[in-house]
Amino acid sequence: MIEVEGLRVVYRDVISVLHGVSVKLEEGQITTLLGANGAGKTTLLRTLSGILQIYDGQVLEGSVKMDGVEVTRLNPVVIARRFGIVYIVEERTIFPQLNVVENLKCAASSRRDRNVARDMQRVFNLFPALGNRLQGKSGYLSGGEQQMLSIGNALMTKPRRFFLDEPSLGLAPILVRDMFKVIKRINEEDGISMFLVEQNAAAAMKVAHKGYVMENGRVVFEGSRQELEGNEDIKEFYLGSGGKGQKKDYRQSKRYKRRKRWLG
Amino acid sequence: MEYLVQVLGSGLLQGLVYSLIAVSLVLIYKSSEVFNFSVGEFCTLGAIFFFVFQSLGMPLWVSIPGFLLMAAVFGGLVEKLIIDRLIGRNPMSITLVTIGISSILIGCMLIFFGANPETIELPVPDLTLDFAGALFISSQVWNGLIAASAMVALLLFHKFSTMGILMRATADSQVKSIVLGINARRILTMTWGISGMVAALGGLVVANGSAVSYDMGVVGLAAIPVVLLGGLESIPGAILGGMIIGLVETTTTFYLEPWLELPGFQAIAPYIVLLLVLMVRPQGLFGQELIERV
Repeated sequence: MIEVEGLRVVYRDVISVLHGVSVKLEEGQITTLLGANGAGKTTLLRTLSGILQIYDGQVLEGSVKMDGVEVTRLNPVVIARRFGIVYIVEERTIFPQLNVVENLKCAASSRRDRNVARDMQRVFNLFPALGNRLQGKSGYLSGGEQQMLSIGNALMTKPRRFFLDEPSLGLAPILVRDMFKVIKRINEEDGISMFLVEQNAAAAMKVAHKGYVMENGRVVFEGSRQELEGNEDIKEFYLGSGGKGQKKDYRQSKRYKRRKRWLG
Repeated sequence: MEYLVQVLGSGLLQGLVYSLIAVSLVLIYKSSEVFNFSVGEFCTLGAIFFFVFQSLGMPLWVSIPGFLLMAAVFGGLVEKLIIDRLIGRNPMSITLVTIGISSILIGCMLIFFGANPETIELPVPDLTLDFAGALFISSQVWNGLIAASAMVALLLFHKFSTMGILMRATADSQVKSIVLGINARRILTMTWGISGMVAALGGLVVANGSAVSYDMGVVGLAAIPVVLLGGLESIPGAILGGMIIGLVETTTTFYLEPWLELPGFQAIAPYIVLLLVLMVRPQGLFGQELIERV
């Protein structure tokens, strides 16, 4: 279990991004984190994976406990290996100058066991499209294929937990659907816990067990999938269907303001 | 005709030596965008390491691995003790630090090695080539051979070994390798070690057949047009660039200088060629194209 308590994070000593964020990630579950641009979602993932300092960020207050161990001072490589975490960054965790097999080999390089070939086979089973693109630099793969390779790379590290930063970004709707299916499948078959950061709320909520909504560096909503789906505000601002099926009326200024606040 | 063979041959052999030094620069630039201005001193120090083994009367099978190992450890130490503390800073700051390292190394070598040049002679069979009326002396041939085989070995290592793949991966993106649990810092240390080893070998082939002195490092300057010509991120580019610069230098010396009546013109000829190439291909001949999706 990963427990985050009252996390305050600043960049360059002054730019305050997280103001006391608390979340709890249960083992084996998919937890989604929704929020608009600039809400601090990526910053939270960077803090959890320990790469915050690379971006000149600093934890001022709060704690991050993984399996009961405080990790905010740990080296990112130690965090990744010890707690089985792989952070699939928004820019996709692939090495564009390497080909597909080199990418997968690279990701598996820190492992000691002998099942690398089997896991590579599993990646090609999950994503048959990658099997046809073995030659050539992975930077020339299509956006969908790159995202597949990104997840494939992550799987090759034999992780226990995924942090996914907007896996649906820049994908066609049909690919988004497939991507979330695969995420669900990996969660169920490999028992990998997922922390899924998304803007595509509808798709993310369908697979999640639990969700948080962040806004301006704070968690503003927390609940199970049913609670998220039942909430009127979330329905309106994230799922695009107006409460009670009414047509939106922007002359209702209060409502308009509220919407603006939600969208940041 | 004999003259032409002589000129091109010497140019090529000299060029291979430049290539080797350039490869040392490229390894580091590729992985961290740092231009190692102390590469010349890395070369000198490597040659001095070899001289130490030579003066102890060690056989080649001891001295070659021995001095390469020392150079690798030295390169790794420089990274661990100095560069590692600067990771995350602007690569330009680190590049400037390498100029400082260069000065310190020159000073230290002057103190501990002295100002007198010492001859270096690899105890190898005579390979003097005499064909088509052109003459290539043994040490020159050996130097070219050593440089060429070292570069082939390095290319294979870089392309196929796990360590080579990891080096290319971390060169692509340090953050992405870190989030995948790859120890990018250790790989950077090892990259410096390998670069130091390559530079040491470069120093050996520069000094072999003549001498090593504490200020031999100016040879590092010859590698600058080479890497810029070949592209800063490309090992094949560095190799080809070295050969081109070698050929340009010798052809200028033997054909252009007498004709132009401009002695010393060979020192600037590489830069003129470089300028012309960069006008057409700003990233160098083999510079890495950024793969960008639009």
